[in-house]
Amino acid sequence: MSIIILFFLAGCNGPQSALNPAGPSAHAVARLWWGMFGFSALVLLAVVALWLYAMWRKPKPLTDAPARQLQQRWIVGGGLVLPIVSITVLLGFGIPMGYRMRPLPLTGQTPLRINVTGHQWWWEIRYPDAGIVLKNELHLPTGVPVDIHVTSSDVIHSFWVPRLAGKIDMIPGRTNILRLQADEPGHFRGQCAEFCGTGHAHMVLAVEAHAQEDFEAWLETHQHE
Amino acid sequence: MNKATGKDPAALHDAFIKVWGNPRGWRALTIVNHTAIGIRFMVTGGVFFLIGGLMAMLMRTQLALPEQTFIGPKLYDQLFTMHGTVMMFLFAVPVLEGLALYLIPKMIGARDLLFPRLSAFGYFCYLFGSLILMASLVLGIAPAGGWFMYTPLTNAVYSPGPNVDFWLLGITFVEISAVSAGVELVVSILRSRTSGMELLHMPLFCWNILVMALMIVFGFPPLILGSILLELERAAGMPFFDVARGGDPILWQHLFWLFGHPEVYILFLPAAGIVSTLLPVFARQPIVGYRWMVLAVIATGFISFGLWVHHMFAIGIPKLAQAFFSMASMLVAIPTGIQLFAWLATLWTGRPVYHVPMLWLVGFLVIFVTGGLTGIMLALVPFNWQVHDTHFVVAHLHYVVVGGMLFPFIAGLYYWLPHFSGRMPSDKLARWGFWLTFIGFNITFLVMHLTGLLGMPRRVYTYQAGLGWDLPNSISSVGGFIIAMGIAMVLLDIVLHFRFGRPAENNPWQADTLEWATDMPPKPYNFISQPDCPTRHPMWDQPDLQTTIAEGRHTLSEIDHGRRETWGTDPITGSIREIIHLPGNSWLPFYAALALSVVCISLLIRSYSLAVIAVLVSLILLLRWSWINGAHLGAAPDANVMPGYPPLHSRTFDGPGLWGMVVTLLSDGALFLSLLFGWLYLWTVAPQWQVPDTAPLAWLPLLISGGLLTGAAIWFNHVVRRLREGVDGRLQSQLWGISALGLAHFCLLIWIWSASTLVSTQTAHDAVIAVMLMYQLFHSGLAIIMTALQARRVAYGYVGKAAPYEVAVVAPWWLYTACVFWFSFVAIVLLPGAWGGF
Amino acid sequence: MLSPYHPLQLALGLAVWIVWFTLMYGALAVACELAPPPPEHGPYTWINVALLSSTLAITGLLLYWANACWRAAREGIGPVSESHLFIARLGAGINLTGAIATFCLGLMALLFPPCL
Repeated sequence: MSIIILFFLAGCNGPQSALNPAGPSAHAVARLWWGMFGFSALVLLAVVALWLYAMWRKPKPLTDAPARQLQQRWIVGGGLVLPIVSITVLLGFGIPMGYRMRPLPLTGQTPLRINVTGHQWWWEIRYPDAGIVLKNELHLPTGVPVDIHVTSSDVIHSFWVPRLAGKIDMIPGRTNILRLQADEPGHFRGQCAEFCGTGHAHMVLAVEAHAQEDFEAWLETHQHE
Repeated sequence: MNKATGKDPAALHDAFIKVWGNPRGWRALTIVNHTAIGIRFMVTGGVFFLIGGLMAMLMRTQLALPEQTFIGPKLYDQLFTMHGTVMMFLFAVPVLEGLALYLIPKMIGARDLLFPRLSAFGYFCYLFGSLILMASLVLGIAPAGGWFMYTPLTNAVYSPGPNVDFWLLGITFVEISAVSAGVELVVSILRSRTSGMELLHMPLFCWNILVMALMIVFGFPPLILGSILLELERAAGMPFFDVARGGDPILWQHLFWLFGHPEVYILFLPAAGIVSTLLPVFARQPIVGYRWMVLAVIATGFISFGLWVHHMFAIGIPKLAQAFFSMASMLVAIPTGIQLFAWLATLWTGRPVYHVPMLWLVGFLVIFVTGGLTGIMLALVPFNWQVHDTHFVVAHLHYVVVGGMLFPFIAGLYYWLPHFSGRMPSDKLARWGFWLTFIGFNITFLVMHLTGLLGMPRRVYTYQAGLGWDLPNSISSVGGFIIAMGIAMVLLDIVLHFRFGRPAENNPWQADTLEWATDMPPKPYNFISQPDCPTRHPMWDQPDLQTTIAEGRHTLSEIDHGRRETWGTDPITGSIREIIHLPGNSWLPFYAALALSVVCISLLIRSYSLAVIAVLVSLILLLRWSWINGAHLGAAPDANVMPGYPPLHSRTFDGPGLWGMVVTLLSDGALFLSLLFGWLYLWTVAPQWQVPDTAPLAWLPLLISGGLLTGAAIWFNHVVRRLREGVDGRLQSQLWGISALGLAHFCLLIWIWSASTLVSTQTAHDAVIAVMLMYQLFHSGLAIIMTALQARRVAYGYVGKAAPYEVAVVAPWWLYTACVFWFSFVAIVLLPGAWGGF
Repeated sequence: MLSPYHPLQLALGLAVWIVWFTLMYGALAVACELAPPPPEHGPYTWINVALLSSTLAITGLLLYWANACWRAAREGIGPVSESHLFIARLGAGINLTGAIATFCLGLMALLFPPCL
């Protein structure tokens, strides 16, 4: 048990950890996780404790009417009210959050567009405006939303940089859009999340976020290569 | 009814065993008895559980430390694919079906399932399909595309070897067995409950199995269709899932998860039924909220069909559609909550006693509730995007499946062990087994949630050091080996108990259900005489039931006619309708399954001429099977019944065969609807859907062909109506006429196809139409053959006014075939025309 | 209408729900393919209105059936056995469950633009 607690304190900070968020989407999900974790732990403990207590206690025999009332109360309270309230609360948080993560039209700015194509087993990254093509590395500006347009040239892959946002599948014949944003400059690790064949485990993406002006400079130097 | 008083049990038993006995030696392959078949299913499934577990151990060894080279990616991919496949298809579903096949007749007071030869056939299909699949592992060419087999990774370009074919063909073969058991269980539960067992007296286990069986009937066909389409794409180049030729890989995902999500509840519902059976017995109190429980089980069955897209939240579907499925996924928590709290209330108001099965039930509670809670988390779309396809999901699904299926199943195993063997297990070993398994499981999988949150994807054969995944993986691996020890302990206990177990007394747990009124271990006929059962707790109300049954004090204890008999009753009120006479032991199920496995293997090695021969052989065997039926002497040597008894079912219009046909057609209809869904889906959603400029099929001949078919169906219906009125004049020539009409339709349809402009390898459009034509031809062809067979049987005197049963069974097939024709006509001729483009 | 004592009541309400759900999901895909409304309109589009009205219609129908079953179970119209009362009572539950499930799902159409 203590080992597990130790993990939670020290272990969340891996370079690919969803619990070590570095962008607004990943932050929101991490907060959501901790909230759900706490609530679920409470429910689990309560249900198990009740169950064990029910097995242990030696009730006086009840007459039919109060017994039925008691039973109905359990079923209605535990089976109906508890899940309905929990679901409502969860959806109340979760649905607007998921909606905000969509690539919605923005007022006043167009997000930077980057095209990412999955291959067995590497990533092809293109900056259509700047005409830059990269392999297995992705560079981003910080503080602004970026739209990653993903597709695949062969089998289904999935684009995932856990510290920045959730994942989106890369499907041949379709283009999906993932909006992500990095808050601070730094290095992040991405990895293909949909099984794509023998090289799946090594399909890694290096992501680097630069401060706005550094990113402009980076674009400038690579545009002419 | 004749109530004999106190016959000599030993003499009765000897007489019954002459009719019901199981042969030994090679002839044991002919056994059709549900007790034997149920045990075979469970033992075979148990062996596959060990094989699947062994594969898990290999994977855990590989992942114990980072950057290991113990197992390379090629083998690892085969291992995780086979682990999932074996556990789901070869272990979980078959053992639960085995338990149901074993228990259901006994719980409802019947002597056997209603289609005994189908039970045996199902078992051999399962066995041969599994062996074919396992052969691939031995040969080192096992499927390696994941148990979900997503295209394009599994198409002929990216998986060129025979690996995927093993999966598609082997699993389809195994699914035939699952569906046939499903059909059999539905009909048996509805039509063979002992006299007086009304719907509201049925044990909850039967309700759970009824819903599970119906879910199998509706849930497996989408995957069967998907597998057929993918195999056609691989072997014949028909592009259902190829974007460039108008297909769409997402269609596969829909078809797979249309099956895949209900599958989870197909596993959970029988397990919940086990819990609902055991808890009241140990709480010494009837289950609380029987009606609530039935409601919850039915609701779970339906809602689980509305969740499939939550496995596909990351494929980029509109938010509104996601919200629908998110909501539906959460709704399923409500019926589960109802069951959970009804169990709790049962314990709360009861006076529980402690036995080993209770330990496993507590383990079930802890693990399953955890899995359910993480399931609700996963239904929330933003969280799902983050942890989908990570080890968090691996942890979640093991909590759900192991908690929701394995733990209750082992609880049930311990509970019914005295029933299987007549002996009690050892308390000490059993406790060791439980605690090792329970602790090992939680060590392995609790920490795995964290591994996933730390970003470790699923299905990677190794990982770099320094990502924070090293320690959690090591812990999981250690836990995995503790589980293995626990399972070994359970196995040891079970093996030893056959030798050293203390002999069990009658009804050792003081249970309330009828299966404890048989001998322990049970005799093949279950009950010498079939009791009235107007109560939910027969063994509590009449504790001496076992003796009175054995003494033949109840009904249907005559055996001198040499028939295997059981009561056929009304599905609702349980009042007696007819005597159902069951077929005896037979080689045919074994041979038929063997011939089908030759079909399967010849398709695998692409030897199509051999496949055609094997198909013909299996067809002949199946026809022979249907020949020994009804009034055939091999099925009922003597047609006389005791005065006062109802008639034999083969002398009525409403025997179990008709019910079996209707349930089969429901399953068939689910397959056809999946095909229609595929057609409409590709039409509207496929990114590069291509339609030809002109209609590929000539519509006027098509109309004529449909008219001939409809005419045949109406004529057949008319024949059945006349039979009902007691007129069988010119029956034989009419049946021949119907066959001829059907044949004309069949030939015309083939001509239309050959004259059409369809090139099924060019576009998905043409490929889907080709499949629809194949489907139609298959059904029409079978209708013709079955009708011709009936005509022959009229000539032999097996079918007629006195024995009209089989004609009534064939009638729905004709109706269905005609309906399929017109639905297809609307879908491929009218709709595209109206839409503007063929 | 189907008799409240008919055994199909044990499946009807939820069968209607699943058919409605599948059709709605399909129709949404088709509508978005054929005539996607501009995203600026948010959830105020003809598609959402159509989804909501189908939701209300189906919910109403299922509630009506649930009520009919419930009353039949309490009153026991005609000579019916205990099993038939059981079916009617359970049927009320199934229809009600279907109604709730329909309504909850349909509510989502209030929140989101249909095709984004």
